[in-house]
Amino acid sequence: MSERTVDRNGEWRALTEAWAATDDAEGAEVATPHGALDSLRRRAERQRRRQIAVAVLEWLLFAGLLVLTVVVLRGGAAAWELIWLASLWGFTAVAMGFAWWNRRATWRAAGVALDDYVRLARLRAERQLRTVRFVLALFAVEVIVVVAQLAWFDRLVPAAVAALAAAAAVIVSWCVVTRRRLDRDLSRIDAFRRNAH
Amino acid sequence: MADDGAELERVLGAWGPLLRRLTWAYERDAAAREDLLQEIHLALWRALPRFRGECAERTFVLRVAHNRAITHTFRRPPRAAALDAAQEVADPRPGPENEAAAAQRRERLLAALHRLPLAARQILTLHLEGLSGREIAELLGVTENNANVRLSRARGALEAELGGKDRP
Repeated sequence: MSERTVDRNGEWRALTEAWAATDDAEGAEVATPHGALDSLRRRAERQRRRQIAVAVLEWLLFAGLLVLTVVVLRGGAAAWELIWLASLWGFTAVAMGFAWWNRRATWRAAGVALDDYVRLARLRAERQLRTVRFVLALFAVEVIVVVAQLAWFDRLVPAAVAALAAAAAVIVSWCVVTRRRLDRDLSRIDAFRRNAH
Repeated sequence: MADDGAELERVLGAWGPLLRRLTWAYERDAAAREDLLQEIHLALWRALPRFRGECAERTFVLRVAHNRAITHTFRRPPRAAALDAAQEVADPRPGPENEAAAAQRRERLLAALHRLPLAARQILTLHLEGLSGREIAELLGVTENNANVRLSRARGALEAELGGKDRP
């Protein structure tokens, strides 16, 4: 073993000792006391409640669409109402199909190898970016179809135009904010992968 | 989620200090580190019921922890990242001379680590924890040869950051 190797091994031993001492630097608790476990339980419960809220909201939207359909059909729907309902269900089906297709192969277990996890993180970010593009495209097509229908049936009133403009503002804002966040995430992931390989 | 509080307590009893050290590689701010540690504990709590012993427990715990920490770092707001990069930790604690020297060495190591890219920091912390090339390869999901190449590059970068006379 050369003198240089011995020297480097000594340096690394010192570094390892310095690293091991980071744990003492904060007066670490080695075991998890019950208080910490309670705090974890509360955190898990908050996350669970958020997930339930999102699921409930999705079901409420779907139920709302069903109720709207029943109400319109029971009152003896006019031709424009039937076409409007059909397009609404059509767009809903397309959106649900896309959501299902776009989520495939993105589930990741927490305990997978680190490289696989980062690869999946990139795939998920790419899919979310695709969702942003899809939402914009779907909304644009929806606006064209709805405006054409309203104009055809002579119902393009200012209130309808204002509603469409408000929806456009909300959707475009969401797309811009989400796109910005995803671009940042992707550049971080790519920088990580560049440095790792 | 199954209530595996007892199992989590056992795992944290065995690997708690390791996890706490790991957070230093990702966060320099104490509050952010504590937050990350909680996230890791939660991820472990959820992941443990799915652990079937395909690898060593330490490997599994480290995988879950690093994966959680990576997500945490990727999603960190830019302002927090900038503050973190700029932060230089000074140890204000008084004490005997050798304790102060040890603290200084630790701070120098942490500062040098945080000047390195995240990928290098990650592999170096595994090495500093005493994992072999084979264990690191298993954790990363790459060949042992590839892991050794990455490790050698990261060690070189750390040595360059520490500089000849500044080495602990």
